[in-house]
Formats: sequence, C-alpha cells, structure tokens
Amino acid sequence: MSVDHADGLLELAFRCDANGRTGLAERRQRFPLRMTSPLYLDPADPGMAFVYLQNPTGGLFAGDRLHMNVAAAQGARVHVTTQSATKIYRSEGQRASQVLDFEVGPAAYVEHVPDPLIPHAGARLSQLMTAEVAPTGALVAAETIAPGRVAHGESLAYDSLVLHTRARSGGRQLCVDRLVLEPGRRNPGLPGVMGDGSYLVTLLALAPGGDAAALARTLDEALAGNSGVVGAAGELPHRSGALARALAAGPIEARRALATAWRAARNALVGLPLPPIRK
Amino acid sequence: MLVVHEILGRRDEPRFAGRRVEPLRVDWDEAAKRRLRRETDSGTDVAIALPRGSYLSDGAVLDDDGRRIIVAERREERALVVSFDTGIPAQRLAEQALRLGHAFGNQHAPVEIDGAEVRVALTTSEEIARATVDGLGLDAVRTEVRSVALARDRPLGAGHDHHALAPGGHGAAASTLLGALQLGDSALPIGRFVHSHGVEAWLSAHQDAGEDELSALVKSALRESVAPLDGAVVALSHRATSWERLERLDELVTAHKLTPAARLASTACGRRLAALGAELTTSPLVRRLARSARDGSTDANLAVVEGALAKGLGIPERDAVLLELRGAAAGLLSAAVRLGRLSPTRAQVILLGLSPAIEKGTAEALAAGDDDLRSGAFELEIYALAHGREDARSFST
Repeated sequence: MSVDHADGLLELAFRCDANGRTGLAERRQRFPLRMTSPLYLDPADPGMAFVYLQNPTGGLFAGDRLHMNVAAAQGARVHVTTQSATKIYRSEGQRASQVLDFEVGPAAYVEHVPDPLIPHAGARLSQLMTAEVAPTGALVAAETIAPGRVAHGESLAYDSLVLHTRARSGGRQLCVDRLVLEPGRRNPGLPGVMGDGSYLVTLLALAPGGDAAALARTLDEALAGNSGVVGAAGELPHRSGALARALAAGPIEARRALATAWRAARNALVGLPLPPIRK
Repeated sequence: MLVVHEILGRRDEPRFAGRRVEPLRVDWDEAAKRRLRRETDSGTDVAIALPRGSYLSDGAVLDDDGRRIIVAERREERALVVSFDTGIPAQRLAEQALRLGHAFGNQHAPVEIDGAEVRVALTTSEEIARATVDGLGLDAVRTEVRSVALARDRPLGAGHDHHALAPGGHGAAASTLLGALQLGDSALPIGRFVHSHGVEAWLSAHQDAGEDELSALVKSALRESVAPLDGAVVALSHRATSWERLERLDELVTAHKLTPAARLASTACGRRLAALGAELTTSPLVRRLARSARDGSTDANLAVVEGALAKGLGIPERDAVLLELRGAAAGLLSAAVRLGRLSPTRAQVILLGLSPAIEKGTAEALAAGDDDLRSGAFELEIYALAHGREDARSFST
C-alpha cells in the first residue's frame, strides 16, 4: 500500500451541559484523522463522552504529520481511545510525526488510553504530547509501546521512537518525560533499561490540585505483585500527580498492567470503576 | 602545473586593469604558508613556493599571462564580531577591551583587531564564543556572528602553545586538576553515597546477578539517564552566564526527574554542594545558588550546581561532564559493594572498563540542548520507585 504523506488534523472541544452530559461543541478534522461520534458507555457516569479515533490508512506512514487537540471545558468528562493498535510503518527518510495536545479545564476529567504503538521494522516516529491541566482538572494519559510485529518475528527492528511528553498547569512546568528508543544504536534489552520486559507501559495521572501521595500509593500498590509485570508508581514533581511505569513480558501482561494502573487512577481520581468498554 | 615563486602585486593596481580574474581560494589559516598546492576556481593547478615572510593577502596577484591574473581570495566565514562603543570614557573602554582581550587570549583564539572591532575566528561553537563575551558582563560592546573575510592583509593575532612541562604556561593546569580531583573525590561531603538510584532494589530482585550484569546495569544508567540528563545539564549549566538561565535549567531538571527518589538524591546532594561551593569559589552564580537553595527558592539540582561550580573552579566543561559521569558510575558500583554483592577490587576494574562508555556519554551530553534532555533507564527507574516498598533498606533511596 502506498499513500502520500498526510497532514491529518483533529480538533475537538468538549463542553458539559446543565444536565452533566458532555457533548462535542466543536470539531475540525482533516484526512486521515477521524473519530466516532461521542458514545455514552459508562453506566457509572452516563454523561461521560467516549470517542474512538479512526485512521482509515491503518497507521502512520513516513512523512505523516498528525495533529490532535482535545480541549475539555469546565466539568467535561471525556475518554479518548483508538479503535485498534497504531502501526508505524517503515520509513526510508522522513519520520512520521504526531502531536497530541490536551487542554483540561477546571473540574474536567480526560482520559487518553490508546491501544499500543506497534513500530514496524525501520519505523521512525516523533511524538510530542503536551498537556495543560487546570489545578482542579485531571488527565490520565497512557502509552503502551510494543517491541514490533512480534507475530512476524520482528522485535526491536524499528529505527527510532521519540516520545516527548510535557505537562503544565497555570503557567508552571510540571513534568517532562522524553523517551528516545533507537534499538539499532542503543540496545534497550539491557539490565536497567527494559530488563526482561518487552512492552513498556507508561501512565501519567496528572491532578495538580489533588492528593498526589495518595494517588501514587494507590497506583503503586495496584502494580506490585503482578506476574509477568515489573511496575511501580511514584509522585510526580510539584505534587502534580503520579507516574506509573511498567515493563511487561508480552502483550497480555502489558494490557493487564495498563488496565491495573488505569483502574487505580480512575478510582483515586473520580471514584469510579473501569467502564465496560470493548475493543 | 603553474609554479608561483613571488607575489606580483595587488589586483587593484592599474597595470592589471582589464585582466580577467581567476580566483584561488586561500583561507585565513593558510595565508601565512609558504608552500601550498591548490586549484583555482577554473581548475588551474597552482603550486605556491614563496620566500620566507610572504603573506597571501586577499587580492594578491600570483600570476599574469597578459589576459588573466590569478588572484588569492579569502573565503568569507563565520566569525564572532565584537564592536566597542567608542563613545564611552577611555578608562572604561580600556578596561573592557583588556578584559575581552584577556578572555580570548586565554582561549588561544585567533582574533583580528580592526579599529574598534574585534573579529574572532569560530574555532569552537558559536554558543561557546558568545558565552565567552556574555560571561564578561561588558556593557560597551555589541556582539554578532556574521560572515567576514578574515586576515585579508595580515595574519590573525593567533593562538600560542603552552607546552605542558615548559615553564611560563598558564599555571592553571595544576590547580584546575586539583579542583577537579576535589569535586570528584568520594570524600566530598554531599551525601552522594546514601542514594542507590534503584540499585539496591534491583539487586534484591536479581539475586543471581553477577559482575557482568552489574557492569551492564551501570552502563545502562550512564547511557540512558546520567549522560543524557545530568551530564547534559552539567554542560548547559557550565555555559550559563546568567542567574535566570541557571534557574530555568534547575526547573527543567526538576521537571525531568520523574521519581521522588531521583529528585531527593539530586536536590539533597545539590544543596549540600551549593553550600560547600560557596566556600570554595567566589563565583556569584554559585553563591546565589547556595543562598537560594538555603531559603528554598531554588531546588538546586546536583547537575546544575556541579556545572556552575566547575566553571567557578576553572574546570573545563568537558572535564566537568566526565567528572559527573564517573562520579555517578562510581556511586552505583559503590552501592553494590556496600551491599556485599561486589568486591571493592572488582568495582575498580569495572569502573575503569566503563571508560569508553563514560567518554561516549560525555560526547552526547556535550552536544545536547534543552530539548534533547532525556531519561530512559526504565527498569532502574521502576526499582527506584519500588524502593519505598522494601522493608529492610540500607540506602535512603
């Protein structure tokens, strides 16, 4: 399959109405980024909007530049996810790039829990995620990085993944997480880097006005003692939330680690169980 | 091949009027050479063999066949141009000019002085050259980098060598070495060794890990976390010439230290080093760090303090980064020694064996800018996070 590189755009603004229902107030989109209409899937919070990102090209190609901006106004509750794993295809030259911006307003709650990134052999991706979170807002942002197309015998055959995440609140820089994985140059399969794990799961729970210590403890206790998973959590700088990081032996363990951390974060932040969504 | 034994004159002399000009490129650092072989822009092969004391000025005519002349031309290159405001009182002007001259003289930088303008050939990066001027706090100069033809008519006031053992050198070599040794000494009372950076928890989860795994573990930490974050920040802080810049770097380091253990180790040691540094140097930046660390207005991360203090002690940037990387590696190995998992002798053998990794990490650190900082020793990070869970711990973190 061959396509020209794409400048995809998805700008979404969510608002919460007087009945506590979050609706899509504005939407701008440009091929190949699309999304489903908001769905209301959580019986525990029937007003929370669930949107699934769709990319009909099936993944990220060399030279693609995708930009997604999600703004949640006061009190809005939004869950953003993907329909399936994001494949990153081989690149001979240009990198694929993806910019994800989240603006979380006062008392708003946003979850970004996508399926794994699967970097094919020779793939090159730069991702920048920025978050601006109001002191009373909260953002849960997760990321799972697969080693490659394991079923095809491809593992750590990609060229370069640069994942740069920056969070701010009220003009203050909260935290920066910048991962640069270049297996050909620096083997990640060493003690101290990936160890015995092959999947890397990161979950940032940002709640600048919340009880970061309690949040971190909840996440850490949930991650301890899962078989096939080495994971832990701790408080972020400026008590702005918690970081959960886990290395998982395989896709099933990675999915379980992610669900474990997400469940703990959701419970600590909004007091709700995981929604019964299916993929 | 055309052989040139003498310079015939200058291209703007009337006798060469109407001749076609065939340029031969001669860079500033070649212009004083007596022997040079080069092709002109049109491909004429020219061998130059001039008498002693000749100089290939921009515009020197090397050959004339009646229709065309071959002319030495200087290529324009990037240079730092510092212009003095000559309207200020002579005493202040002299003081500032002397300070500038001393700074570039100290660096052996080739300079060209033309009226109130000093042009400095960029033999280092633009940033380092600019930082040299910025660091002097001169208020009567304007600095810019532009393309100029250097040394058109006479050689640059160029560098000079100090032979290591010859008398009359800068005399700084011994004292900066001593300063570096002191900064790298394990006796430096900053509490660096109460932190294991995840090594203690990692070792307790890897009871079978031997020397090879430990060596790989320390190498991972150097490559994925120490060099691209702390090492890079040491270099950036060494280059910082203002308090605002140092403060911004300090905030950036805190934002990158994602685990409580990493922040604790960095700021506890950094604050103690800042307080100590204020006793060791008169550097205003180090003293300000010590003050603001004491009153809590700055985190004073270790790498920031190390960079500023090394600069204050005259320790070169690269040496400061090497010190940080070596210190971190020694600290991680020392944790394994004190937990009874490695003999002190083997720790020294491993440490020396890590020299290539330390040098490679230093090169990466020196090349990094603010947006290149990264940290990705995930497994160690996870064990550092999990350290809080351990019941019986030897280390603070």
